[in-house]
Amino acid sequence: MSFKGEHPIWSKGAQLQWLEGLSVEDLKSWLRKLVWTQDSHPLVPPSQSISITYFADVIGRGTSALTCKVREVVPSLLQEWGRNDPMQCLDDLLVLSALLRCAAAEATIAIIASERITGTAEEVELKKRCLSVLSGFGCSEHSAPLFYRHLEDINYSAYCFRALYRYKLSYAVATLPTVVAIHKAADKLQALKGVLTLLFFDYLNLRQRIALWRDIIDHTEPMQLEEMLRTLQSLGIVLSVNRHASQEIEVIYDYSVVEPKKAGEKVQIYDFQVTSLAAINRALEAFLTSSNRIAQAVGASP
Amino acid sequence: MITFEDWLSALTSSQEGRIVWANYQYDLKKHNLESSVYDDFKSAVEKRLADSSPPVQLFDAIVNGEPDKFDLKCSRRLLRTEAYSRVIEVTDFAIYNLRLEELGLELDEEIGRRVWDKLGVTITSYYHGGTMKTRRNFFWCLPTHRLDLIHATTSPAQEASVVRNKLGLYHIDKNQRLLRIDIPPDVLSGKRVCAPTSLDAGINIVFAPCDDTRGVGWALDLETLSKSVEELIIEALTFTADYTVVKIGIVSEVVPTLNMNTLEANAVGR
Repeated sequence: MSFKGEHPIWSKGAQLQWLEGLSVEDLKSWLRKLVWTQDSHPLVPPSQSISITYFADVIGRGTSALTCKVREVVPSLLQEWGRNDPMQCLDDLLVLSALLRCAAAEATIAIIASERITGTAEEVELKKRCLSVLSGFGCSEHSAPLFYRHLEDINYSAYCFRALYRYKLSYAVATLPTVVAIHKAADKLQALKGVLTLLFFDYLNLRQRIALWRDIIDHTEPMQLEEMLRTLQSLGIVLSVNRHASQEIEVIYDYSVVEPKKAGEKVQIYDFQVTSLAAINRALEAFLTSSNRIAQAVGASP
Repeated sequence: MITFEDWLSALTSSQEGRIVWANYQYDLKKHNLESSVYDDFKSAVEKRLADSSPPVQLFDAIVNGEPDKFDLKCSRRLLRTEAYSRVIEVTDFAIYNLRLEELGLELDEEIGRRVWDKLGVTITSYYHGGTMKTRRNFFWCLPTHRLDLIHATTSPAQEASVVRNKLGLYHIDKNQRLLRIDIPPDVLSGKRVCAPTSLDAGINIVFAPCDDTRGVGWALDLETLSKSVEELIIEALTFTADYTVVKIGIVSEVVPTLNMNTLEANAVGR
């Protein structure tokens, strides 16, 4: 009678030591077993934990040699994943890539996102994960076209927008109207508020924010700009100046046919345009009465 | 030919195996598990003996591989339900319970810290999503009042370490961030809530089954290795904006050293 294998290893320190001792090939075999069959033997993850994030944490505490080995192995495991394999395997590999910054997997993940997963609900979730991991590596000249291509899909728009503006802030100027329009059309304004709060109030400082607004105003079509500003105003991202402060004015001329007022009566004016008109009238009155010469010139009675 | 007894002998040749087996025997002795569960388990082991897999690995593979037979099987009835909370590390929460795609927040090694900083500010309950579970189709929790009590009696700097120790979360290290998720009572309607058995715990040395008449389980305190606070497991739940998420704090102390001999003596003598 014989049972192969080692005694279980449950402490993080001992697990790390065991992992450090593996060759690249053995590490690859162990990770493959972990991802494809949930078998981490001889390492034992705690029952309250999620095994992939738990082992990412263990590996992340190791030497740079161990991290390098993992970064070498994970991209090739990603290449092994096929459409007939469980989706959970790919998700685990993507999480591992992100938490251990396996940037060498960038090209493989980009290919998976654009060619190997298509459109079922489960695959949409996986594509989101792909884009979030690629964005975590930092958008590059290789991944920028992928992000740009998915910008107008509401499922991925926020990931793509953030990845692009973190790569080059000028992308924020070019893509903001599209992102606002996409979210508005999909009735995702609350999500848009979060996306824009991250950009304007988390990522940018005051000086950068003002510079960005200047560029947005300069480079956006007026109609589109106004439409966008109205949306952002409704979300509290931009605030309107309070033009409608109530003020009390004296009626001089009454143009109203609905509720005629007597000259000298005090009324509350709430509407900016009416207030402005009243102010102009008042100025004109003052002008006409104080300058007989010009008043005559414009035909007024002396 | 390899027999079940051979397998058992190999399992109990390691200290971890002896703890796991003692806990399982306790559950059977106290009728926390029906005899049919024992029959199913034995039969599952016998079917796979030819694999010659390491015994602990086989134990794990069996309880993980057949959730209908081995998950949430405690036969001790919970006398009354109350308000429950889950304690979760922020990186797990960020990856599996937030709709990061709606924010566009990238996934990298800093995701836990980033979510921690924005939680309650930019990240609100609107972004809750996914399922409350571990890799198995349930999650661990405790009565909310226990966390309230720890909160009321512990300094903010110590709170996360105390929660970690009281709940026996030996995998949570210094500097990891803990969150508390309060579960709305109405979502538990029709869901299985019970004490964890040794089969739910799997290969977990910091676990003790119990025969509490109220039907609850008890977590082991990492400092004393004795019973500390009630613990239960709940069938997976959809995580929505109705749940409340609160920061407990950042763990400030290293994990206490666990004495395996004490753990084994307690398990065998229980």
